[in-house]
Amino acid sequence: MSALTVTGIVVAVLAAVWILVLVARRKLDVRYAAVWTIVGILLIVAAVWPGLAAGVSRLLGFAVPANLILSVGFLVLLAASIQTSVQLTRMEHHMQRLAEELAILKTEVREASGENGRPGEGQRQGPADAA
Amino acid sequence: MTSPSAPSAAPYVVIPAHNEREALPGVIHEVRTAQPGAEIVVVDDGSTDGTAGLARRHGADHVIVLPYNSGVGAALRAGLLYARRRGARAVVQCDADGQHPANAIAELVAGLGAADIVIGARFTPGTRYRARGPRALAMRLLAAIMSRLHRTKLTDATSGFRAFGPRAIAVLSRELPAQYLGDTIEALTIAKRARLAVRQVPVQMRERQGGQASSGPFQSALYLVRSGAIVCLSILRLVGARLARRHGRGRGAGWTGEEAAE
Repeated sequence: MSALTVTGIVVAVLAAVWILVLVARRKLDVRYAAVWTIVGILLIVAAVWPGLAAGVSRLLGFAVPANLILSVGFLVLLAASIQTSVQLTRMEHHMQRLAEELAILKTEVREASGENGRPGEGQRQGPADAA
Repeated sequence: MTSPSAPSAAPYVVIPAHNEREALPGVIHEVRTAQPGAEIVVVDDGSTDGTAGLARRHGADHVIVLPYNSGVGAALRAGLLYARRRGARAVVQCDADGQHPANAIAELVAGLGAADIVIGARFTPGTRYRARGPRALAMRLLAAIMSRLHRTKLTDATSGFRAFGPRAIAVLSRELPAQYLGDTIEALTIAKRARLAVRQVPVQMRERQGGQASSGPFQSALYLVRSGAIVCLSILRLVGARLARRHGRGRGAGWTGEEAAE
């Protein structure tokens, strides 16, 4: 076993353990862990079996196996990053809705308690004014 | 001021406001004078200058305070949602900077008899307002595209002075995107998708009476790019919705039906 193989295995295992720890501590949801788990497994396989990358490279016409690995890595990261942006957008939409619902609810509560600020009625500066 | 919860013909006038201390009191008083029966809803879009308190002191009937700045689209959507839940039959959107004359509200609301959305339009013969440069180009293009889309003459697609009927209130309180121009351009493409009728009436606008307009040459160019992008995306969505409808799994019926019955 070459030094490079050992290094590869160590890095891949560390990455896999890190993901596991994050999931176990509920800092990473299983849904998002899936893609990273697959990446980790692929890394281990590639590290244990260097011939595989070389074989696939020949098959796909890559002159150097490193180019294949870098290309695949780039594509995986690109996909993961787009996926993250999609999630972020969805979260923002949900948050926006909640903000509107909250604002409406606050208005309704305030009006129900007779502080809607019409002339002659309760005009004190509530917390809502400061917000 | 009318009784709060009874569904009535009196319009809800929704005024999205972001740091509009200077002009807002004048706008509220003007609307009150022109439309004594209207419910004035000020939506404070994350202001930092005490706009909400000011609106209350100057007699706004309802003040909705969004927890952070979200854009005119979000503010309008919150106002529409609130009005819909209170049984509003007509909502008028009106800027807080004083450029929209309140005495035209009656005309906008009257137009709802024959349309779901009535736009108060600048740029019509006999009115004064004129924009220049890339911004003017963008506005003309938008007007042309929206006119084609709705098969009616729309000269001012970006006007924020509009009246919404019950069907438009139901659709837009759900669908309106929060971002800049969401309340104007996208509202019109959403209206098209939901098969809402859009008309315009000419309105004599004023200069804004407070705050600052975003109209440097750079902002104008940016405006052109942004509005162009929004229009392209909107049309893409329209085409997608049409294709989906044609293939039987369309959401066509849902646009106006599902929540209106709520």
